[in-house]
Amino acid sequence: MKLSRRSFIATSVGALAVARGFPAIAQSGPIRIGCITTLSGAASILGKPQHMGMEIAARKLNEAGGILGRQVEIVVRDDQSKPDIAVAAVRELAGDGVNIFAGVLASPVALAISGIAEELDVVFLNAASHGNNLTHENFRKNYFRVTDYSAMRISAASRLMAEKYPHVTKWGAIIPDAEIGRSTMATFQYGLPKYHKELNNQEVSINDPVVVKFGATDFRNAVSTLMSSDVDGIFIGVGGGDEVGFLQQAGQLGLSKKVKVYVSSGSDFQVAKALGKRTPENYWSGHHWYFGAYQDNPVSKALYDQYVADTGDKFPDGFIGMGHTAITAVATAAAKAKDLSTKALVGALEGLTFEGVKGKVTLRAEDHQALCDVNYVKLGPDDGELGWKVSDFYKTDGTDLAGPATPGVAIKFQ
Amino acid sequence: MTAQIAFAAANGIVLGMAVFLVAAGLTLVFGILKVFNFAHGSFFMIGAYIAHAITGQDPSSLPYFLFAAFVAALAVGAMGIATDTLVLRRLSSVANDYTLIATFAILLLCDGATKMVFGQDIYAVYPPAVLDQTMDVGILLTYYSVFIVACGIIVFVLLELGLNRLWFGKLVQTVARDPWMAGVIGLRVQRLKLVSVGVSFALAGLAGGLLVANQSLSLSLGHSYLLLAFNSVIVGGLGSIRGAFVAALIFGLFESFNSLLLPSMPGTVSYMVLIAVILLKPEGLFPERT
Repeated sequence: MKLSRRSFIATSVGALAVARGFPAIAQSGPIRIGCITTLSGAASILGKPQHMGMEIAARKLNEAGGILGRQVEIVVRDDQSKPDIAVAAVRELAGDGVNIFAGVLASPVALAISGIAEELDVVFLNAASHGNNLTHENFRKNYFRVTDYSAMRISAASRLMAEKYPHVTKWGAIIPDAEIGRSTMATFQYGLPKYHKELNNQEVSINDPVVVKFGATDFRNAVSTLMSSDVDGIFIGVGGGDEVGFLQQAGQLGLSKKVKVYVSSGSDFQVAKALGKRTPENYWSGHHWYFGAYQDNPVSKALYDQYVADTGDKFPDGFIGMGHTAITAVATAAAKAKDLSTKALVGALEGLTFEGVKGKVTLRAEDHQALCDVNYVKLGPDDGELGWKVSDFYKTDGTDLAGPATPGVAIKFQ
Repeated sequence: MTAQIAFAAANGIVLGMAVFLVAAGLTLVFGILKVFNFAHGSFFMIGAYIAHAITGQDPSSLPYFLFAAFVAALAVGAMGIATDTLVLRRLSSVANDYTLIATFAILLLCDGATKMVFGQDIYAVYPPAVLDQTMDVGILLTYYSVFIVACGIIVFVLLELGLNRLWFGKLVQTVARDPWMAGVIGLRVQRLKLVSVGVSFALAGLAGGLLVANQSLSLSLGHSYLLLAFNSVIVGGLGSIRGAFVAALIFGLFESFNSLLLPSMPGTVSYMVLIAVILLKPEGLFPERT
């Protein structure tokens, strides 16, 4: 085989870089950001918007000259909602020189990536997972969460219910048989009595939750149990298709007419889009970002307009907003650090305040948790084409709901 | 509490019949081809999507709802014939392990194709107005629940009669028992197998069409039922329609009472039943006669 001098030099430099363990980070080409999210299976309905939010943010950045003069390229990988698949994808991209990662839906997947981020010398901006542990007992230095989390979201739901429904004092709940179900329930059981006491000076009762399997098809026993218990309000901890199935069967058996309010930890618009005109009255759903609450925010408005132009749909999921926020955080941190190395980015992200789709966001220096707004939207049936409508929304500053930063220590509700 | 126990019993029967509707095609295809079809849940899901594509969220009438389920059965039956011709038949001479992996590949293919054709949104489909009502018989039941039980019983009776009393059913059983001997006596083995596989897959499509209003419709629908259907086929005795019917009822009742009496551990009793039956009666409740 004939080897030219140029090929020989290129090969030798490449071999030397590999032998010395240097990642092959290109300094002049586009900045590659790894988007790890779920693109297959049922959860892809959330992963695709998350990816889309990142792509829109990257496109806008590139139109404005990129980050530190370099174009931004989003490299997407499907994690299939499985930690092992996600870790393999991150290792593959890290080996190819990518040192910035964003996205992820499921908390176990986020936990797995945060666990290897330091080892691989990469930074990971989580744009959806809600597990309390990620910024508490399982905190890792190279992990940042750019959205609210379970404790904030459910505390906001508790405050919202105490504010808007002071007369609903008997509560039931349905949660999945999983850690996330129990942790959201613990937050609700702590928050609702606390806010009722503070705002209305009255006691509330919360029954033991009805626990159901993930992916269950039959919720009739759960509905029957909730109907036979004397409750006015129901906290819904199940999400996605399970939540649709529960509300579908609750409507058929009359539970939705019996209770005064449902509050869900959050399925964005999915439930209303599925149930259409059968969407129950007084159904509140948590959102990562509700565009309608930020009509005066230019970042939010630009993202919304771009989404509508790209898709024709007028109700973007909150996951789009959080994908967008992750890339905005990277761009702001890079501009601050003027350096794209992992160490510089981690340093710049700690305590960083930037303008996102929900207004001002601060990544708390101690535990890397975003201090930002929490959004809830009230949905109900409508005679219009969609069959459902947004009848109210609730936007609250989540700073005082985030609890104290306790990296390395589990959150306590007391 | 009495009302809740009665409701759990009634709901267990409904759940059992829903599981049987899915398990019927699964056990039939095992009886004929001796293959565990991993893709069965996906074909069931495709049936549900086809029915939804025809009726939309609110089927205009019961006949239209049944028509959609019938179309779903025909479409999925045709897919079954294609699957048998293109894949399963070609693997009939190799070890069953290969066929098992092939059906897993078909599952992935079906799930991907469904996503491409129908998208990934979650849907809620409702029963036609005549079934979308409740009756108070001491406990609150929906007409649709009663409809599911009736469908389960009808499918069971038709399959039992068809396989054990009709001329065609006896031919199918002959081919399933000893295809070589069936060929020697002049039966058209491949054609009989093909028709039987088509019927098995059509049952999956029919179940999808009939059960589409029983829960939310999403890409995970197939997996939701598949595990309980597999359990019923194993516990009932591989290839036995009667066994699948009885086992599905048992699982439905145990699942239902599990959620009432052990609410913090949903779904665990079913697995205890499965383990117990496998240990005590590994051939299943209604094993194939030899």
